[in-house]
Amino acid sequence: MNNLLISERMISRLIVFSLVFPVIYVVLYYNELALFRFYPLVGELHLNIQPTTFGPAMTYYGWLVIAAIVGAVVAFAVPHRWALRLWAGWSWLVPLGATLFTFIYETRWLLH
Amino acid sequence: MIAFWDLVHALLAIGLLGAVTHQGLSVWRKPAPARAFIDRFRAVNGGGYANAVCVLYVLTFALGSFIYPQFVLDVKGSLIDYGMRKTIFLFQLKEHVAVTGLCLLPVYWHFWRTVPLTEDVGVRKYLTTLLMVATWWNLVVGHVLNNVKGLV
Repeated sequence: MNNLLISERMISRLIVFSLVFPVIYVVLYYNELALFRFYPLVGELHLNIQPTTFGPAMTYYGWLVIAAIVGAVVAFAVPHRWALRLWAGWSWLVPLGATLFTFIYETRWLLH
Repeated sequence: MIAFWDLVHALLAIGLLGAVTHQGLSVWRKPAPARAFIDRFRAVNGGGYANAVCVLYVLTFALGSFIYPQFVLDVKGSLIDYGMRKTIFLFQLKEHVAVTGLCLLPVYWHFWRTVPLTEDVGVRKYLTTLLMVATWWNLVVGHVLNNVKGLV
């Protein structure tokens, strides 16, 4: 075991990060909120929506970056004793729930 | 060049699939002598795979993210033009499932590497199974999409 290599406090941060990341990702994805958009046709990042001449916009990277930042901030902000109280099962139930939500939402491709 | 990176992405994904499948099936196995092929396949020390799974997952994800823009330009546009909405649906899910796997990694690593294997057995089992299913889904969908219209 790697108990000596990684502190208990750091472990609780990892767990909180794993819980917060998918929730933030789903919120951003559902609301189409992205820190930036990448336009692969011109190979440029932009904070604002660009004209159609820039080609399709990719919001994926913007979601990932925000979710990672928020996840990290919350992981460091949550007191260690609170993190220890978390039920371990949330660690797989929350990501599974987030995935099921995206599955249901993406069925719009099948319905329209 | 993008075809080369696509190939490397696929090879990494296959390596990941092998590791996480060994581990994922091992968590469902009850201790008993391994006689049949399936039993021998899953009679492994699951803990020994955790680091490899994490490294392979991150590499596969990073490379997939790198080639994703080319997919958007060359493939996704054509799928929309041809009205192949079911195929787009599959890929959209691949995108989200990949993120799910990525955010599972810290906690997955924790339950394999810092928690004694006799504790939290159920959590470890479901985390690993979820990661295994995510990997299988993404590899199969990626393969299907690559056959729909290969990257240039």
